[in-house]
Amino acid sequence: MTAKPDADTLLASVADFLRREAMPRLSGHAAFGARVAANAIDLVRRELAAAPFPKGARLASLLGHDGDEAALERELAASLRSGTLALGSPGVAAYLWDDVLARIAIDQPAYASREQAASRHPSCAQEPSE
Amino acid sequence: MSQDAATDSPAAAATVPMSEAAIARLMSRLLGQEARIGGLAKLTGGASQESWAFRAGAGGRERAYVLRRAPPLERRADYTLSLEEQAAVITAAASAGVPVPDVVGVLEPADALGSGFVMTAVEGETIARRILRDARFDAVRPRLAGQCGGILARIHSVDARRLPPLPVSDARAQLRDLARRYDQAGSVRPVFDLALRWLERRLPAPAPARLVHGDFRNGNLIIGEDGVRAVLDWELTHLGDPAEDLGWLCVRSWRFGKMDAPAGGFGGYADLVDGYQAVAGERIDLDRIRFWEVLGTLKWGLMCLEMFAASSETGQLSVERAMIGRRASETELDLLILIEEAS
Repeated sequence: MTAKPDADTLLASVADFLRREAMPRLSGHAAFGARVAANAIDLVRRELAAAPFPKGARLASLLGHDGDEAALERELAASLRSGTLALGSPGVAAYLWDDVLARIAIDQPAYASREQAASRHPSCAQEPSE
Repeated sequence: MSQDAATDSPAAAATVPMSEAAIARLMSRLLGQEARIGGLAKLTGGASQESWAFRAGAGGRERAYVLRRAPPLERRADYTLSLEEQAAVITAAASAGVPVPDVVGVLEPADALGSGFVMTAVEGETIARRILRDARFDAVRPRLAGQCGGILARIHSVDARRLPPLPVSDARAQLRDLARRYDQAGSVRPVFDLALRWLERRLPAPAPARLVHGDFRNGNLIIGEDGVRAVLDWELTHLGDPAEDLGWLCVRSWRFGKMDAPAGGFGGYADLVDGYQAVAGERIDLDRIRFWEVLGTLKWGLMCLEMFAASSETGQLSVERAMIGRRASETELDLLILIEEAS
């Protein structure tokens, strides 16, 4: 049984405290810092709520062999750097888009480039669960 | 090292005292008569070094000034200019018709205020989102991209003989530097590898080296209802490819949500290039601008990683720096958009 209040509720209460109690009492750089801190709490909540991106499985499928996730990602990076793989190689664009869009949904869901990306990649258009 | 991180420790100039008395002695020296000081206040918003605003009166006249300063033994990355060098570049740019604050004087050791310079304060707005959204800028906004083009043409026309010795950095050198910094960053971002490859394959033909501002973007400009009043932040100035400045202005992160207005969020490529041509007489090739836009996007992504890394290495975690680290993903998304568009 999960302890109550759960982690998300605790984080929401911290963000709420920062915005409603701390920020109005602070000025200058400290007020700015409190706002950034509240935004960081929101980011963590999105990350905890998001369905994990199956990076290892996707990389293994793309590269055609199993392996440690970090090693597979380094292999993809090296192949893109050397030109062995390119954006037009089978599966590469789909992997890169899905990986980046999964992270931007957590890091910056309001970033304006997301709309443009979603119009090209409709499967990625849904909002992250809150 | 990151371009900003080397100059930007939170306590940057904290060890150098600041007082109205010290400023009064400084301004009396610079103005040549006894100066009265009021309203001394530390400005927020500068990512590195310190800025102080104050008013100084002498001989019955009073006006507003800004002091930019750093500690005397401040450690800098080798491609950032000292404040003394920045003051010399700003003065040279002013003589070429670039709107800049007037440099009133440079700090000397006897001033005991660190190193730096005093400039006149320029009224106006620097916050990009206000410039792009406040109604009071509605009338001038359509003219800003063209003005920026014209101002860049003037910067690029500055006679090198009027300048202090500056770093030289063209596309090839910057790409090599970015690859090295990415390899040192300790973070695997396959999109950055894709971008490095893309850029290597499209290196533009070398151009004659000109004065390049290096950080000309919405946010580093003072804008009034009448247009661009001053260009700020000359710390990354160098000699290089003039198209670099146009590409950096168009980086998607500096459009602040106005993605359909590539030039700073306030205009199109054509407005920018036309404004440039009207002053310079020469037309900058759009492919060349787009190359530098991709390079600039990668550069900003690496800066995001480096700013976080620099703060975590000191053991002084900063929530601001940590959140900037998470902005690297926005540049990955933008690089994919740019590279796909260009394919």
